[in-house]
Amino acid sequence: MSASERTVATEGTTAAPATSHTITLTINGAKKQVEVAPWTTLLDLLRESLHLTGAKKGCDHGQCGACTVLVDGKRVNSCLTLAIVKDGAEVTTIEGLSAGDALHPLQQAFIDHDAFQCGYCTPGQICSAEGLIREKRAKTADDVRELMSGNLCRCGAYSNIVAAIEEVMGACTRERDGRGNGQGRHAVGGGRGEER
Amino acid sequence: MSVSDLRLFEMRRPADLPDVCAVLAERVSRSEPTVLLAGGTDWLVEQETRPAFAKEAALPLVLDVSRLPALRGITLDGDRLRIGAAATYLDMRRDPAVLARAPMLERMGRDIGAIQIQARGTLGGNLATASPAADGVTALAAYDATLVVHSVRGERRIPFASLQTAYKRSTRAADEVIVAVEIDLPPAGSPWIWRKVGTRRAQSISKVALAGVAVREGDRLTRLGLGMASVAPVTALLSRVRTLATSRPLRDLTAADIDAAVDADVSPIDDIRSTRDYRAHCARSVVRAFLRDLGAPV
Amino acid sequence: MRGEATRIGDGINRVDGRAKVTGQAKYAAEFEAEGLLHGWVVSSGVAKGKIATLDTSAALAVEGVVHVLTHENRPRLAWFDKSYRDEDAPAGSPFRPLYDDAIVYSGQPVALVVATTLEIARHAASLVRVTYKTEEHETDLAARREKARKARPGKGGYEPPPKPRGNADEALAKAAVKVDAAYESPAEHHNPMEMHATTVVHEPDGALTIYDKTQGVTNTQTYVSNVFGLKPDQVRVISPFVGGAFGSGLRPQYQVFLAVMAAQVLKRSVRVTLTRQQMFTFGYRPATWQRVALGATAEGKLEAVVHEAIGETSRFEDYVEVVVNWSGLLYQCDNARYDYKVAELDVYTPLDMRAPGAVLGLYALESAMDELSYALHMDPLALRLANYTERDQNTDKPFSSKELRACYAQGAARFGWEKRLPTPRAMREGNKLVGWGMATGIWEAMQQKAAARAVLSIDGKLVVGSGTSDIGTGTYTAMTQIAASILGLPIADVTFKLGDTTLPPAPLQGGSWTVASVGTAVKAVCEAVREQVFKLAKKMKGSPLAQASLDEVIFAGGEVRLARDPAQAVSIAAAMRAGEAFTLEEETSTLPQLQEQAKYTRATHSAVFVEVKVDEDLGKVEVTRVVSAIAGGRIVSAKTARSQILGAVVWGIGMALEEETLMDHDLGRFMNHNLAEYHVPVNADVRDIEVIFVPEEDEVVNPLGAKGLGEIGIVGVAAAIANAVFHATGKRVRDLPITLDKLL
Repeated sequence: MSASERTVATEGTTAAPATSHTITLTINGAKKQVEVAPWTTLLDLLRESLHLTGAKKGCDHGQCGACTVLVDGKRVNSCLTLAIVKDGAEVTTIEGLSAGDALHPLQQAFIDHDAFQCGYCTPGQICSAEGLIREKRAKTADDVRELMSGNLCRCGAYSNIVAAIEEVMGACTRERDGRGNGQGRHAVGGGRGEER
Repeated sequence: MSVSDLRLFEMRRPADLPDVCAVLAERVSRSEPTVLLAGGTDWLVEQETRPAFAKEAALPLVLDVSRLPALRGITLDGDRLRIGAAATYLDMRRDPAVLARAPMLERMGRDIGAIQIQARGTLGGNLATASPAADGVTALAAYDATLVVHSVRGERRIPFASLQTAYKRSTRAADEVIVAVEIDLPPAGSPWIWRKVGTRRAQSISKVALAGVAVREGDRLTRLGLGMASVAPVTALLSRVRTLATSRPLRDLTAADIDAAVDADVSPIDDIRSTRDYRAHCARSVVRAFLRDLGAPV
Repeated sequence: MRGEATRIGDGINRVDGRAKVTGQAKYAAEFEAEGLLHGWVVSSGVAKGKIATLDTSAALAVEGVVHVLTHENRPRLAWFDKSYRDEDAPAGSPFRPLYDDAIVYSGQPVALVVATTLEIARHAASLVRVTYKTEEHETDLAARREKARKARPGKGGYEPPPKPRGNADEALAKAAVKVDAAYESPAEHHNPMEMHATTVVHEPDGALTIYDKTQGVTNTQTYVSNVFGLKPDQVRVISPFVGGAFGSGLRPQYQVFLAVMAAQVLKRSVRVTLTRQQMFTFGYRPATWQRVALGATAEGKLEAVVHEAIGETSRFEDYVEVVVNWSGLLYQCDNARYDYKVAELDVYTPLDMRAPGAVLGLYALESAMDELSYALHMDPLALRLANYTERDQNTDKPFSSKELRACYAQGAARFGWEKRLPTPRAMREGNKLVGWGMATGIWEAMQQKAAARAVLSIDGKLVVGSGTSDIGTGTYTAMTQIAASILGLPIADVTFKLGDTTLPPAPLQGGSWTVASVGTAVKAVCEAVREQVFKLAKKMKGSPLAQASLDEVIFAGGEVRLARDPAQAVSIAAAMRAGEAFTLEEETSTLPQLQEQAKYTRATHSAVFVEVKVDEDLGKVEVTRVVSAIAGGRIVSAKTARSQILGAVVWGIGMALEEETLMDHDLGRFMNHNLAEYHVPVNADVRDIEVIFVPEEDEVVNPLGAKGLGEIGIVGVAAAIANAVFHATGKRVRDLPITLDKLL
């Protein structure tokens, strides 16, 4: 959101500065210097200049979530993010989630639960789900539904999306608790059971 | 291929708040279009639907204030909560002071767009855009928040009640930067309400939203703050309801009196999001529900 | 599962899943080309009139702008309407982009700015100045209902309403119990997540390779060839992935036309992607008015069915869909009368959208049946069972199969329907009203001509191809599964190719007929390969199968085995080696058995049970539980099949409670043309959905016995929700969507 003051100039203009800026982004682990205009969105930069077309354009207005990527570990709508504002940031797209041939657990869970149909919203859903898991806020299926509501799926795969995320969330929680506390596994399992 | 000749706008990241104020003052004095950009969730959308600058002679300047320390941060000092204008809704939802002392803000933040929008959108932006449908502004109205603005002339404080003048118009000057909002909090555990009515369970624009905070002593309300979205050209403060409900014991409030006060306080219209009648009904219904929760026999 | 054969009916993972979850699946706007140019469409701001002036000079002055195409500088185009007609065109005169100065609907493309980058094109498009000489427009169906007229048939698959039987109006007048009500539904837009886009690659020899968002590559190829006077072999259309369509890709949309035109004029490769706003500037589900009148005996036997409908269409084409015909087909009734008309408005032509026609007709019919059940003090399910029919009375034919009774029984049992309290407002949970409603669904089971090619290599890899599409329906998976099952191969050894005009032709992907049509072709072509393999296996020296016939062997694990003694086997590789066949190739085209099929009515059926919870103060409705029981013939791929129904139920929720494209009749323009204000369900709107496939055998529909599932899942859902809302609140809303304000 912005404070905006719009008045039409009656005479003269500010001396035009150069409108191309060089910024540095770490994209999927690789540091890149890219030239962007001030108005270039992160989504257009990824898709048009870097040919990382995994992030999708579904509305260009932050209303559908298909463009969701992780910036410094947080999920953002890349269509509403000016690339220049993210100078120095770390960007992870769907292309960077899997390590070589090994799929990310969310990617595998989405396949196993048939959590997509046409696949167009899927990269955004998965990046959003990864953001959600990192946020560690979702505890119940209802939490997942609410916290995934920024990602529209017109095919209507929502219930399978929730199932896929719950599976991975459960695995993450078990893993985390297993490391910290030998009793954790049981407690978490019981908790999840009640939520359903 | 270079796009350097396109020149839609220039962007700059100012060093600090005085820098923002100075640039803004200079540009406003020359009538040059200037935008303070925090989350950009509204402004970027407008750029496509309404190429505003295409016709303007001066190259617009966008000041990226999203990382300006002076505009960020949420602090609690005694009973006064200060929220930086560029703190995001998500920052707010996760802030311990907000969770402990202003839970209504957290609940409201949940209903802003979806999580990706909450991570970008800010109260400052919501205030600057000044839409009567803005959820964040509605919550601030209920808290009778104070806007802290800065300009080259120094700091100025604008009580919420004297902020909005007409549809998307306010008493803030063009060269004044919204720095923070301050809220004098009711005691911890005070009752509150946030009710947003939309078509779907997330990513909805309010048909009606009610924010309310109250302090109750015995059968009386010693403080009642209300804000309502989408029922008037500006955020409705429901002053008649406030007066009514604080003027007598809760048990003496009647549904008819409350409804009459609500009707006098709002002026809803038909639009694509809802009808006038439904909005009026909702307005009455949610206000009654809040007062009922507080102990009124309605 | 590697090494194990997959059977038809198994629930395997989507074979294109990996490509989709890794971002490797490429959609139409994601293909690259040398020197690619970007087009941006300028849309008309008025609904009717003529372009008075069109000034492109400011746009052309922007560095990087290559061209601005308008009606004033367009190249020569085909002259006759028939050149513009596509496989899904209704009767009339198809819209021609940039043809002349006439504006026939708001949002019509009036110019295409072509530039070296997307951003330049977008910016320059904002500098194109267009003025109009406007004329009075009419966009309100309610105001034009009196002017509605009989529709011209001509659209593929459209059946005009059947002739009346008995005397419905008289029977209605005499009926002991009757309901007679009007139902309205608004325009809705498909809004697939992927916006329509086309990348045209201008090949060095002048041929075009077109990556298009389409539900049928052949349709696009034919259209482009005809309109631009090209030979089909100069136009290759490719569409491996489609980011949803739901009908929006059944006709070539204007972005493909504009991209091809620009590529032809500039001799360059061009991409045109529509914006989300522009996704509201072509086809949609038409706003429709319906009247349903039902008369019944006091015991609940239907004595009269009257169903009338008026749908909107454009001035230039008669969009038609089957809205009313279902009413006399679904229930036993001797007196039935139908009427279907269209009203011309200054809008773009509507377009098939998931379960076109049926979803509207069944909304009205099944709402009226619910109303009748209350008038009769009868359970809604019991009323349907009392009027169950084993024959299609419209045509006086039996059904090829109809397990609707099982849908009712299994759905009701799973839902717990017997616990329903009959009176509205009787069920509560906390401060919420609880409502239970149900409805029936029906859709045709169709089959079209289709062709497929199969190549089996000596390494045991099978490649099968057909020019069909996969708009998310699971075509890749279902076809792979059919092919693998016939040759007894593991899924990993089978590749199915689609979405390419170099493959054997297939019909448009629509009408739920893809598995029935393309699946039949795939089955046939794989059986032909299988027969070749068998012959080679038999001929091998010392073959254990020498005396066997084809029906005595099974194909499994890459081998041909004797069914009665599977140890007696020949590997496919060995057979091919012995026969010196490095590859075996077959191509087959299959046709429906029209004569046999014509003896029957072929349809899928469903029973939908819904629970809603309604906040009484504000009228907020939540759909908390849905059970959808489907009789869809044989299920080919269980996992993707279930997903089809899940998704369709979500569509039903949207249709019932949220979706509506609102027209500003003063401007003749859709107002909520974005995803913030055109509400499709979000994740939080969707709760428990259970899908039941009841077993159904059918040897008539096609050799697979599969009836298709793309549409049936949405049919009836809106009525079931509306009925549940009535049960919860006692309020009958007869115009969709059931928004909060209508419940007060």
